[in-house]
Amino acid sequence: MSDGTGLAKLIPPIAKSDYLASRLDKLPCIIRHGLNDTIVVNGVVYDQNMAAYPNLSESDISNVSNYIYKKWYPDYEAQNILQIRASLNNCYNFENKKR
Amino acid sequence: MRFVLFLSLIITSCTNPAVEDLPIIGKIKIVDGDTIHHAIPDFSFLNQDSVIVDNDFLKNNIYLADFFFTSCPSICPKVTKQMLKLHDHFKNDPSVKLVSYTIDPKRDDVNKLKSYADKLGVTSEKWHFLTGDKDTLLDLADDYFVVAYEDPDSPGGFDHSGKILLVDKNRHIRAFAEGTDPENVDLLIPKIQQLLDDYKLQE
Repeated sequence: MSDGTGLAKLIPPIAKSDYLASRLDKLPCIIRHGLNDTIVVNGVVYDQNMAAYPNLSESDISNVSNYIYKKWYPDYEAQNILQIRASLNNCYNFENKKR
Repeated sequence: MRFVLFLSLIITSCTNPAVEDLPIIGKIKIVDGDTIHHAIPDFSFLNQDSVIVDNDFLKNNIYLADFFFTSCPSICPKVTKQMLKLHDHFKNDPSVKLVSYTIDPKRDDVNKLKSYADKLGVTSEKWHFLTGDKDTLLDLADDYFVVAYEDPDSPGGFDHSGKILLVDKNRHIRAFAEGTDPENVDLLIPKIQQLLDDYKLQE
């Protein structure tokens, strides 16, 4: 899994994902709250649930997010903890209600 | 003359030097002087195409087995990815099958398993996803030496190991790997090949 390519049509890739590339700022929210919508990534439909990780600290989420940014989206600036916190305070669910 | 005899003994004992014999894994029982090896007991479950799969169904195959559930957020994706690697590696050998047992049959009914298998890009021709009675499935895990139990504190609600087991045509476990470790799973490939070769020699 560490190559970021996902698993067939079950788990979408993280690397070169058009879905993720267009919402990199939402990554911290996705990590904390998971993703239960049907999404389209690089033209393929994915509908399996992504688990939430409510117990991860801001620091953990910051580390994971920045790892992903650095590894696969290097043009996106690394976020400091205050920026991550601000993102996490601004999470919306799929009904566009603030979490 | 003795030298020729000696030489012929050396040659006949060197037929399979490169790979060690695969053991039969599990406790042995001695019953009336007969050695009884640990074996997978009778089972009968439904696969993703609603076909009943039991030991009889698999009797001419060797198979790789694991325990999972579709909503498992932790180790299952990694283990399934390794199972897929093995599936693809032995794609062209019809005697190698894969069997994945769900430990969450309440949520993983036939439809869910079908959808999962389809998304994985595999068919029951090669890879069975089995569901049935939960207690029977969890008990069967014991016979595969796989730890599996319900645990509300675990992610997904179940705690289980990610072992992949290799089972021969006589229900004996011959090898296993840790499914979360790709390098460990790679070690299984020559063992699977050896088991296939052993059967070919017997034909």
